[in-house]
Amino acid sequence: MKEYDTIIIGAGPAGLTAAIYLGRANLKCLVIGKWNLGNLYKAHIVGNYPAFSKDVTGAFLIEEMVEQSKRFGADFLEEEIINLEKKNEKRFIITTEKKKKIHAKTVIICTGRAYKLSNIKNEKELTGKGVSYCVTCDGFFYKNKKVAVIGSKNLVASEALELRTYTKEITLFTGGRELECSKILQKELEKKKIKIRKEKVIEFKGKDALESVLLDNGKLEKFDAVFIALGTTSALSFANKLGLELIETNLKVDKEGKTNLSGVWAAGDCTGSNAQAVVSAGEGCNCAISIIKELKGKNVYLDYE
Amino acid sequence: MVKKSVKKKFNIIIYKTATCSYCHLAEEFLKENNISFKSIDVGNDQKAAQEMIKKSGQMGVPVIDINGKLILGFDKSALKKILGIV
Repeated sequence: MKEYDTIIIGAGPAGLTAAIYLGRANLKCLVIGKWNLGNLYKAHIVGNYPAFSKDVTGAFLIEEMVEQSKRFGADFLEEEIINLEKKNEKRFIITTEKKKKIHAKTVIICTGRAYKLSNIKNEKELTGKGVSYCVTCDGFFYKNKKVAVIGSKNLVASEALELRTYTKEITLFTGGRELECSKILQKELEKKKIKIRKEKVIEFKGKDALESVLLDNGKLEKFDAVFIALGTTSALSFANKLGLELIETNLKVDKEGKTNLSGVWAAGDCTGSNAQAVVSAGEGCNCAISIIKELKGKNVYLDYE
Repeated sequence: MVKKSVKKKFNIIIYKTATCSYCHLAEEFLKENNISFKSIDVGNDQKAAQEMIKKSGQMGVPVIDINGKLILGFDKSALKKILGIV
């Protein structure tokens, strides 16, 4: 079982800067994430990142950061994470979409902005009353009931499978998209007979609680609960799984980037700071320095020891 | 006659589930502050689950009932305020 000093979840400027600093300090780190799917990567013109007097693309900045982290020994894994657990005081276990389990002493969460709202009609009104974002938290209320999950990536597949502990009547709505998940998760969905349908849910209906959903083909279908699992596993999913303190939908951290759980740091957009690449990079650096001091038992950080 | 200051008695019930990390945090917080409470695992107690839904009008945990006043979720600042913790 491979063990790292640090696993960095997210390959944006926060995660990549942390990787550079950790690598330089000879700590083994793994960056897990698809760096070409992040927010900075998608920016066509970046004119405010210091040290670049001419406009550059976000993709250029990210590619340079990836090269730089590799230069100092960071490992990369382009898979999505579907679970994160704390095993004991010294160990965390990450599970990827391909069901790989990787251990680490510390974790930095750099997943970017919070979970996606579906913007389906009545989403807010019925949240907590049948509409939920977290199977771990709310699944038990729906034992043997009829439930739906909405999403189109690894996250929805993993949430659907987790729901199976509570009920067999599960429908996965991909909202018009193709379900893009790993082969392993695909096989498990088939094995557990989870129905995958392409229709879009356009409205949640119910008075005091969810009663049914309206689909884009005009049909009304009864459900006791709908779990929204859009996009990839977000900081909020990790927060729910580990019990991380939040401020609204952002991870709460101190000046060093530490969350309330020892061994877990967070940096970048997921902490609610100004969503600017240079801020995220700075926070990634702070987390790395805090980890370096802790793992090496030092009070003062010196580069390139 | 010396008047003794009476410490307010808090009747606290935490509705929780086994897999809920925030429920665990709430229990830890009360223990750290030497405040006694009763925990009900609604995952295993359908009747209690219904009671919780009726009281709070929703299906999220934890629901913390302090002398009849409800706190939804692990809201540390709300807890501190009601319990008089600095």
